[in-house]
Amino acid sequence: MILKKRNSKTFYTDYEIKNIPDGIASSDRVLRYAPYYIIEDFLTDDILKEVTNFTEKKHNSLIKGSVIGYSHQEAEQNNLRDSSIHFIEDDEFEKYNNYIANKVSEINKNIFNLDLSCFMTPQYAVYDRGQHFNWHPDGPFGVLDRRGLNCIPDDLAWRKLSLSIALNDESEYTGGDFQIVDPSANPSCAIVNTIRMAKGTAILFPAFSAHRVSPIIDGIRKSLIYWFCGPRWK
Amino acid sequence: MEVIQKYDLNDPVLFRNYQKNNTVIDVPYYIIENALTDTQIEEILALLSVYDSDAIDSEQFNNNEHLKWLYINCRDEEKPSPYGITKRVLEFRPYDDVIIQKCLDINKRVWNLDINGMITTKYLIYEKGRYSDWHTDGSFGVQSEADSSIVWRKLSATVALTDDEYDGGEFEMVLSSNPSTSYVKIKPSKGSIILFPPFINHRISPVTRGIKKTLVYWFCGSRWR
Repeated sequence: MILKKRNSKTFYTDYEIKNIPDGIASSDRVLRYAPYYIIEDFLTDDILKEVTNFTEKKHNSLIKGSVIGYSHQEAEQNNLRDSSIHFIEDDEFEKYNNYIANKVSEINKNIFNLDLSCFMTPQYAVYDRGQHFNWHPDGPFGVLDRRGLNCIPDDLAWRKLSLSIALNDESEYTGGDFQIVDPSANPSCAIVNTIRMAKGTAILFPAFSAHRVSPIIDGIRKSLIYWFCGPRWK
Repeated sequence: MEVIQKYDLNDPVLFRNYQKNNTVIDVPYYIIENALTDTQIEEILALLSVYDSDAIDSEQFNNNEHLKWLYINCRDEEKPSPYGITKRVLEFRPYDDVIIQKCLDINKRVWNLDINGMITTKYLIYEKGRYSDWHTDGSFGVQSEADSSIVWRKLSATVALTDDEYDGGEFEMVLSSNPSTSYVKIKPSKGSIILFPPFINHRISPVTRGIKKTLVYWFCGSRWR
């Protein structure tokens, strides 16, 4: 598979190392930092249509999204999250799961090269007017107990890469920006990258990166979320 | 260790519970208190202060860092470094060994990352008014010409050699939660070590009095996986 080349319209964070640190890389090597990766037309129009035909049927069985450790009421009260979701477990969706997982696997090989072994039940997420998902990582980088020991068992699947696919176009809603921290930006001025996605576009990022969906002002935002897992960070 | 400001201590996302018993916190960094004794710190300062006047100004290399530094090589044959000056200080070896061992022990307990090497120890001097702007020490993902032979920085460590000797000069990090409110600002105590993954955004605020001295270690290994 040939990866799509970056262009100025997309939002790749593309830091060329101007001062190559000693011992890291030779000066003739150009590295592009990729704290996240955007893929335009991740889903072709045909597949997008099939996927949305499927997800539209789920609108009568949407539930409120919660946050680990919190009920959806607590999440809403604490201004953490207010969104409607559906976990897709239908057999008929398996072919799309496989299609998406294969694509991500290819991209991962080229960009992040992380050990991935599985993905979790995908989530269809709908944000209506006023709804949002405040800043959060999808998974931890390190988790300590009170003794200062990493307390997630080695054999547990860690969320390593998150994928968000836009199922409708950013022109269909105002607000609802996808924002993700820029790890080397000055937090006092430009801490985040704001990304508005055309339908079919996807963003792939390490699960420990903070991101949010800002409140919807008008319209409705629909996306499909996957978490790819593997052994703990090495 | 004085944590001056810890924003959003009640941020339920940052400090969310992974278990219901309220004992688990999600933090990317780790502080080793009293990693070195006051005597050891005094001995290190005595050894290294001799070279203070040789330290070079980082401003000539980039506009992000505003401090002076030297590389301290206590192991290998003298080798040129692309930036700055390397001083060979063999007497520093025992202290270097202690610091490295403590960092590797914590890595094993906390992250267990693949680490198989390190970059030459760097000695940093922040005089009044000097600082280091927001930066990361290394990247997470690399696109294009990255090959497996590249050494990746996996853990950064900063050893505090002074504390009462200066004001300002706090160590600040942006954590993986609400970036506009959740960051920590730490005034490390002498002899302590802060360990953190190099992709964490951090800075040193301007020193307003005295001189801040630190040692910086970068532990390297295979690329993130």
